[in-house]
Amino acid sequence: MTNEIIYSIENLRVEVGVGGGTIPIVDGVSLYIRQSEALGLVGESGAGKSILAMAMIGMPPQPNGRIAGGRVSFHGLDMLNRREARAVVGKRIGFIFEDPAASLDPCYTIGAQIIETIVAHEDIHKAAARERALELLSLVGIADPPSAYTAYPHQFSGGMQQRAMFAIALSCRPEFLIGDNPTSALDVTIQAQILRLINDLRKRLGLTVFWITNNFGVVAKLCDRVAVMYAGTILEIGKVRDVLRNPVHPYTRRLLASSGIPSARSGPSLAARAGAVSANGEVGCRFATQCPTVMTTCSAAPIAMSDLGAGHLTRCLLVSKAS
Amino acid sequence: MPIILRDGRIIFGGCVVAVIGLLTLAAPLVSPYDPLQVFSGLRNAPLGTAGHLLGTDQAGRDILSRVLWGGRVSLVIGTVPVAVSLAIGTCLGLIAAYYGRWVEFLILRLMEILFAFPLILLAILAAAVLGKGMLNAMTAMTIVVIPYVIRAVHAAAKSTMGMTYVEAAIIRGAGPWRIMLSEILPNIVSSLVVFATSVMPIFIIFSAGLSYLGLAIEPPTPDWGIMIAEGQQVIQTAPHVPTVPGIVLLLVAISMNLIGDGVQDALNPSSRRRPVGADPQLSRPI
Amino acid sequence: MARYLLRRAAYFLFILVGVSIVIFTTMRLVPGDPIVYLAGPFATAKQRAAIRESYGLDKPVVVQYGRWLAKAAQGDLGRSMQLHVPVTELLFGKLRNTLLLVAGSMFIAILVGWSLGILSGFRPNGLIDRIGLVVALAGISLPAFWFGMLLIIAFAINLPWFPANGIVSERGDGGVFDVLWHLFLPAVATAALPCGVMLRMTRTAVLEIRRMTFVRALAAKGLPGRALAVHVIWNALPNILNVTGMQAGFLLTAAIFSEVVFSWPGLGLQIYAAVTSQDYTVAQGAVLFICILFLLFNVVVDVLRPIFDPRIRMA
Repeated sequence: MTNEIIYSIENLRVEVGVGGGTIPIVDGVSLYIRQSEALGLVGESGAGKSILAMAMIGMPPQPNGRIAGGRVSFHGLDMLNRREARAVVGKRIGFIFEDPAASLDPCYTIGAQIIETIVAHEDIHKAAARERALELLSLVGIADPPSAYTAYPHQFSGGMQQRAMFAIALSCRPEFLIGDNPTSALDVTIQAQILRLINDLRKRLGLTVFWITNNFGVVAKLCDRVAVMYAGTILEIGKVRDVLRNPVHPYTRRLLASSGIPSARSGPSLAARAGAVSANGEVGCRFATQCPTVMTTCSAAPIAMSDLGAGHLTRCLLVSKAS
Repeated sequence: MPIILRDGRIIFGGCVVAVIGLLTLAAPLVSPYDPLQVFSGLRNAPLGTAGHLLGTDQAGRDILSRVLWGGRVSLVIGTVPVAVSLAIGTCLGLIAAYYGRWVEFLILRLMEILFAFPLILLAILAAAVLGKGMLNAMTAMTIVVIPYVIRAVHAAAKSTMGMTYVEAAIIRGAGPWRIMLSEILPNIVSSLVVFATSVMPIFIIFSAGLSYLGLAIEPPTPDWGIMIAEGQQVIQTAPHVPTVPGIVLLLVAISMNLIGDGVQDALNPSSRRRPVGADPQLSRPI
Repeated sequence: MARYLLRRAAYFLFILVGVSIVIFTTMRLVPGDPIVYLAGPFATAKQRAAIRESYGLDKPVVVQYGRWLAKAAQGDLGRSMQLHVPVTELLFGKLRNTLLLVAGSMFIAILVGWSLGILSGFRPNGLIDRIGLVVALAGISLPAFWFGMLLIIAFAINLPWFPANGIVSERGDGGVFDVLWHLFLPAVATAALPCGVMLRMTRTAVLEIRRMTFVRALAAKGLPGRALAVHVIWNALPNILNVTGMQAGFLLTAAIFSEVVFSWPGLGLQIYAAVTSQDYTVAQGAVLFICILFLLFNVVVDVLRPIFDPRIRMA
């Protein structure tokens, strides 16, 4: 039994204005997410993951970016349409940012920030909202909810702040949670707690998750499927087990190697080539300039996804050649 | 072409200031009459009177000539003190930051006491003590601005001194003046330029204000402030007399503000399209 | 918080003493001898000496200072050397008038400056922003005294809507409305500069806050635009209030220009007269007065910050 697709991105393109022209930071990304599944997105910084995440709730990059094309839909609602998006963002879709200290309003108490979300989306008394806020605070593992409620963000450590952000994101009992590297600022024990909490919510409430991270360990613990992003495009996607055990794309293999996860497949050794993620309007594979197994055809034309079976896809000519 | 010259505001402001500045500079050549010359029987002549493009004032003197000659005084009083106080203030600020301890303590405490005086009050006191006259007026204004310069320079220098290359220079055995001039100064130059360009329009207006109050210039030397003050007497019958010099003053002030905004945006790219509230009073005294 | 206030109080005192020394010596540095002025041209040397002694001006400067300071600490600022009325009495009346002018100007400046500034900050490069920037540029470029004159020409002479000078009409009732009617033009003239400065700084403050990550995070919570605006304004308040307070303090003496143009009987005018005529006691007292007020304004501004910014409050 596969669940229905509740969230889909088709050919999304997000541009940012630089100098006189525009650069596509997200270039033709297509993804789908099923009910109750957890999709992870990995990639180095600069790949466009955060911009993708923001575009997923219909927010173009500031100060001068725009969503240039493609479709994003959540239960059939067009997320690129402001009105339709506003109805669900914050309520049925929760979003957690990477830097908790920068994402909380320094002049409002934690409690105020939680209940304003609740009150904005539901017809509910402040008192009842406060009750729920206290429950949420203890749910995310904060020791003394009443005093946390009246505290200001700067009085908290990074870990507590991020937990507060979780409380805010979960406050309206969303069915879909987007996390942009939410645990990168936390130490390992707290990270583990948060992951356990998310898994628990998935089991109990069927929460659907989209998790952006640099950390394959997190992917392994939390996600069902994972996508690999580089320079605005998805290079490989598939079930976690498949991608981690049999990574096909040279970039995926490089990522895995550098994060110390052994992979079953042996192949040409990957010279660690330094290089910034760049998208200079190249046709063809973005990774070509740094790929140890690059061929001339790689840069010739846009490369389509090749299906390796069981939902494992990759955008690499090596595969087509081999099969 | 560097960004600084492409900014429309700087171009416009620069042109206006340059034109007015050149005209006043060339007053001896360009001015139709002597500014003190009285045309008896032709008092308060309106604009466009034959031979007097901008009319005559309440004493019968040609306004255009007085505006041109007066500009020399007003523009000088408005700009020279800024330059001088920058020079002196930068030195003192650097010295205070570099030598520290009792030198710094002394200089900073003195400045704090001066900061307790509102700007205008200080100017009035200084002007009263020094007396009238262009040189005295400029000295008074210089004294008034120096505390702000010292504070800004001191703060910037202190933060620069924390940088490792300064420490490296000290270890290398570079002398104090060398360090101050070649290591610290270049880093604070751009904020000094921003400060200077934003303070100048305030000063032009301020100095006109002081002469309006009769504290700066000894009549009958023409000066825009004095022209406005004297013209106030005939405001009912000949409103153009105080109005015309004010218009010129306004033009200069607007142009200088535009230049200041352009410079601010050019030198602080992070503040693109952020106009500066260029009021030295914004720095807190305590 | 208490220790912070204590340190501030100590600073305050130190500054006041410094200020009093400066004003004391400054007055004695002004060229000319007040005794000559007071005694008149026909006085003999003996008479002059007597007058000098009666004012205590024969004692060494340090002693004079000590005496004056001791009395001032008790609230006695002496008598005007020329008008013979107690200085405090003289000054309080004028102070009230200046404060009225400052209040009126700040009211107008806040009304225009804050609203245009905030609106511009939320819609930069829009129509309101462009209008606002022009208004701000005009405000900071207009000399207050000349602007006052323009207002007189336009609204007191050509269109006789407002009086051109004074604080009350000669034949009027001197009541509240009469004063307000006289206050309008001077207040507008004085409001130009603070309005311009506050408009710009408010705009900048709002723009800066809107750029911050937490604003995006709030939008991602699905908050309506109005709630977001409240968040932004609340965060920008510390800076906005800071600028406003500074401008108010600045206006205490900057109002002198309007006081001269409109013959508004305020403190600035009084100081100016006293300094130039060498009325030592009035000048010293008035300057001390103004400096205390100015410092008080700054203290209020400083205290406002922690009230609106929890990060400072709890540091």
